[in-house]
Amino acid sequence: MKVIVNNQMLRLFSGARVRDAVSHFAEQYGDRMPESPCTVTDEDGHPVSANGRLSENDKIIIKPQKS
Amino acid sequence: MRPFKTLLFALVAIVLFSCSNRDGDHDNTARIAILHTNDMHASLKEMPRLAAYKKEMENKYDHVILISAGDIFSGNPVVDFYKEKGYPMIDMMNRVGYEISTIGNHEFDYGQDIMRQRMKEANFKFICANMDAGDAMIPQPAPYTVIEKENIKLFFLGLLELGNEGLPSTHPDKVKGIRFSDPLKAAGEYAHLEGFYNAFIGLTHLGYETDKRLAKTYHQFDAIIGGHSHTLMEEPEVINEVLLTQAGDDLEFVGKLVLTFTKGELTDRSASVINLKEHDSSDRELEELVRGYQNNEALSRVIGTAAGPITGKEELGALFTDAQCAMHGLDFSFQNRGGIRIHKIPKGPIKVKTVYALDPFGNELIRYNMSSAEIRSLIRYSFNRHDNIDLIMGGGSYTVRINKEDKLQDIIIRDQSGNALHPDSTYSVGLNSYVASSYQFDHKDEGKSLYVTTAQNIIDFIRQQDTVDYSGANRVAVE
Repeated sequence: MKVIVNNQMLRLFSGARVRDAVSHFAEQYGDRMPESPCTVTDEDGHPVSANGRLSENDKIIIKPQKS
Repeated sequence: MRPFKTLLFALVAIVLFSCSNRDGDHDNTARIAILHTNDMHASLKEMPRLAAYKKEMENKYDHVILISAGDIFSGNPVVDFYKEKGYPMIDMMNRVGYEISTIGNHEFDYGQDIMRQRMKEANFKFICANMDAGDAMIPQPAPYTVIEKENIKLFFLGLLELGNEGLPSTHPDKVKGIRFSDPLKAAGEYAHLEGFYNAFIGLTHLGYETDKRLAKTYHQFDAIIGGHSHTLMEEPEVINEVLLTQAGDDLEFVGKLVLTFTKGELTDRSASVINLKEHDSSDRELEELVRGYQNNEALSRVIGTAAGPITGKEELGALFTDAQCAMHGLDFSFQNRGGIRIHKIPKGPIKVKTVYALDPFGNELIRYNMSSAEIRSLIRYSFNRHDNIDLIMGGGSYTVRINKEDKLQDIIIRDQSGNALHPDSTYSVGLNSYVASSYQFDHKDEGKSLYVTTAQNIIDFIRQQDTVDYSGANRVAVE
């Protein structure tokens, strides 16, 4: 299934969770990963947890955690 | 007498004021607080704080209703391996006073027989409008429920997400005999009831994006309380005049949706989330009960026997991969060495907690259909990534040929009978979700989760085998 992470389309297995999308993004676009610690939100800015299940065309954003 | 009458009047006024100092208790106004949790995944730890918080809200609002948006099970070995699987969660939810839970995809995880027993023990109602239990073992849940407080009727419609194959995110075997229908279409069958109730609420396990589509389609909802995507909505969203909210996961937060009714009409809505970890008060009796559950023997339960010590990555990796192939009928399976977190399982009884120490990450098993060339690309990537053998194989073996500079030259893969793989054949291959998501390899098939953790897989396999022996198992060679 297709999931969009930081505006990059990723192809993931169906049933993937947020944590899988983050791993995939880190592997493919390591230079674009924000510095740790990070937080993940949906496109409306709501935090999503690592075990949240993703659906086709979901968009998530990885960004640095606010201090 | 006049001073006495004045004093008496003042005293009566004080008494009347004290009785009606809860919000909304005047001018035919009622304020109802709907406390909601979602995706608790068998987390018990903050139940005592939730109970205390609910009690406090009962002093503040005219009425308080506590509900769940699904996925109450799976995710805490203490509950998942309790002798009556899942029972501690039902017990705690009964004691804290839940009134409704929509069915989530993980409610099916323990199997239908256990799900049926747990549903029977619940003092709260399970709802789901887009499932037909048919001849399955579980009882047919009601599509909706109505809670009435002081002549105010609140309608709650239950909806469950479906994946691309028209089933919820669980192993297909767990939902045999159950038919599911599109949740948005199912919602349409009830939208006409909106006018009969003071509030019309979706209690959904759809995920936030689908909740948005539901709101755009049906303005009839006054609110949608969601789950499944584990979204923490510190502020609600309002779409098409429908308020959307969701409260994170793992019982770290509780959502509070406050509905104000004036002469029976809904005149105000507000939503927030409360961090239970930061809430000071806690129910002491429930703390004691939770401690009792956390200290139970579930993790020390023996699931089988190791005929001899299982030592090192090759032998332990063989256990991982054999479990995956055997339990899911896969041709091959691969486990990365980095995911094997202990050095040895000693000879003798194997306990649940040993498997969780061996495999603590909560990775799920992912199935691919792959050609031999694609399997080769996976092994090549893993070898180059680690400059060494990384993946242990199940269902067969492989040899990596390297040159004098230690550069990979060739990969020879054989099945269990020692035969080379056919270039035109497709094979079913299992990978854990970490390898599936972070290793770069060729695969036309996008893959799909089997919705079981690799740890659970190992536990099921050892139980099935009763005795396991991996002495000398070594399925990978370098030439």
